Amino acid sequence: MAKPIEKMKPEEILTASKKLFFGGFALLPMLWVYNIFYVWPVRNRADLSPQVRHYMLLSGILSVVLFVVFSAWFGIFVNQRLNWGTTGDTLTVVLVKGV
Amino acid sequence: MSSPAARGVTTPSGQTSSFPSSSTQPSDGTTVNTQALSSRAGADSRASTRGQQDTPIVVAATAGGGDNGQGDDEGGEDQPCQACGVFPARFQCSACQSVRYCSQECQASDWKIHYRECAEIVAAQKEEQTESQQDPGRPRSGANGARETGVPGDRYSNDMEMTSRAAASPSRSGVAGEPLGGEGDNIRATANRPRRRPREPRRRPRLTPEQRAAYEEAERIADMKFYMLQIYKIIKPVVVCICLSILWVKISMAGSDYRPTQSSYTVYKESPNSSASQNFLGSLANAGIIIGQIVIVTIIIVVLFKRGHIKVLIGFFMVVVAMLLGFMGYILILNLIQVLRIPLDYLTMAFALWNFSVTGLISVFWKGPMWVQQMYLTVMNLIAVLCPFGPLKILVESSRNQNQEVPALLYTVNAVWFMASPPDAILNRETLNSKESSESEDLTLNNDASPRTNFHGGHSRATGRDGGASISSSRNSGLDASFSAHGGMSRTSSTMALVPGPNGETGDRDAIELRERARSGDSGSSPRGRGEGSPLAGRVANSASGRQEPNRDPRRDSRETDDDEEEHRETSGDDDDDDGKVLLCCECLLFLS
Repeated sequence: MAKPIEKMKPEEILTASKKLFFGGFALLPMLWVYNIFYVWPVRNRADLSPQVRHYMLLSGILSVVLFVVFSAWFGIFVNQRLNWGTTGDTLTVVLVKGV
Repeated sequence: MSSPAARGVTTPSGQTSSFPSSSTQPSDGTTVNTQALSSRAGADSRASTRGQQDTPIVVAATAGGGDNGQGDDEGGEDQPCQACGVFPARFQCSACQSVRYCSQECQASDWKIHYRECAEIVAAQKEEQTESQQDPGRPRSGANGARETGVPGDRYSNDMEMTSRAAASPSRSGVAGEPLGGEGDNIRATANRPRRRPREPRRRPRLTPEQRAAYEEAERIADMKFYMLQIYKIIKPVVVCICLSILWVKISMAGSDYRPTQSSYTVYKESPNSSASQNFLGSLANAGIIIGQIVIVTIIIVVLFKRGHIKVLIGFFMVVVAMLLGFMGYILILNLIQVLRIPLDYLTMAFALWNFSVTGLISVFWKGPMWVQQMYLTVMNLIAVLCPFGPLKILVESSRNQNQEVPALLYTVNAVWFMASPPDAILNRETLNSKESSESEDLTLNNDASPRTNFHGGHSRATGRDGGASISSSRNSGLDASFSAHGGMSRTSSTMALVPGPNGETGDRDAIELRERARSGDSGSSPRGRGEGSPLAGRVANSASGRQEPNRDPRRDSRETDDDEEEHRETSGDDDDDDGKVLLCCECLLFLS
């Protein structure tokens, strides 16, 4: 578990990165961030396949995009919650008293 | 004794020059003959270790061909023959001069036993020679001389020499200190074995007492530093967890609806009217239930593991972790957002929780950066500590209700020390800087490390850590789920409990006083055989660490220990798969209890 990246062979790194990348498509931008954090220490290794950097780059871009999307949604929700009437209330998890 | 008869014997003994060349007795050595012989002995002694294989040739030919002969020589007066025990043994092994024989036949027959110690003795003697600054090359040169020139008047032995030399030459590597491997019986196999370069004499250079003292002192200091480093690396995440716990509890108690509540299946609930003995018995019953749960789950896990159902275990733990991160996180987040008045919608919350759980699952059960895993384990630890139905909550609640402090809050430090075979493996952690909680709770950390800390050396990184949950077995290849004892790992098991303190400074009942006392637990095997090599010692030591689990159980003063232990277990910076498993095991124990 959580094998350090430095110890892995280039092929393993490639497969791991690939899996993390494709896993992130299940609404898991965290996995993309995870991918970046994971591969970051070895990103400059010479024997690494260039695909790894591709995956890292794509992960970064996609995660940023997704986070922006969700932040936008959250911002909208917070600000417009009261204007939506009942929908807003059903969406809210905890109805804080007095607010 | 240098009797003519004996000396005369030495000549034909030249033919048994397969043995180490005849060496004269210490008292004697002035005759040319003997000197030449002894020089040949020197050569032969070197060759002897090489030439175990030559013995059969020698013996069969009786011509003494071969280098690995033990030279016969005038024997000792009062010693029995090494092979047959006859008194007096008049010949001795010329190489090492420490065993006596009565005849060449006896010498030949004993050679297959004696050749091992002969080499060692000769090496030791040679070392002494070197230390006393004699010419170390003398035997060699003498041997060479003997080889070249042969013994005057001993044509036969010359022939023997050449025979032996021819026989030995392919393998001649030279020094009498050659390591003796292989079976004495299987001489031919030994003969055909490729020669290795002779090893250095085993003994270290002799140190003067002052040097030795200084050396040991330096070593002690280095050890101390190493252990301090290990302690810091273990304590740091623990302290982080403590601080986070304090923070979380403070926050969550401020809310109204989603407070962590007392466990639902305690048989005895205290009421103000009950007498002291009723309280006591009821508490015992509660305690018994909790302990019973833990024991049962532990047994189940042990059984599953022993039977080899590793996948079941892994699956089980994955479920537990998922539940922990998911549902427990959900519950705790509810509390948080109520207190902090965060308007959160289900969409975002589900999204965030989903991400959080899956990432945690992956980091613990799959690959990932170590710090992420540790972070998650800390979080899980936190959740386990604060989960609504857990023994810790009971403890806290009951102590709060009784307005009593919980005695013996323990922060137990079970330290099994890492010694990585690549020495930097464990030492890659930053040192701890102890932080004080911002809430400035009382944090009494008493590290009682000295008397009871047992340090176990040795951890080989690839082998992973010692699994905790009451399983001690050696690590099997490929079974990462094995909670097996492994090379040493440092681990702290910390037991901490949050206790509402007396209405002290703030007068607020929420003030929580966290007391800790570090207790070092035993792991059984005491000294880390560091001198012998850390991985070794670590492995030995770690086999004992599996015994920690049973040690821990009776020692639990505070009910919840496992989660902390587990967390620390995993914080040993080890990349191995066992970490998460160990952690999970413990977490699940706690969770299920």
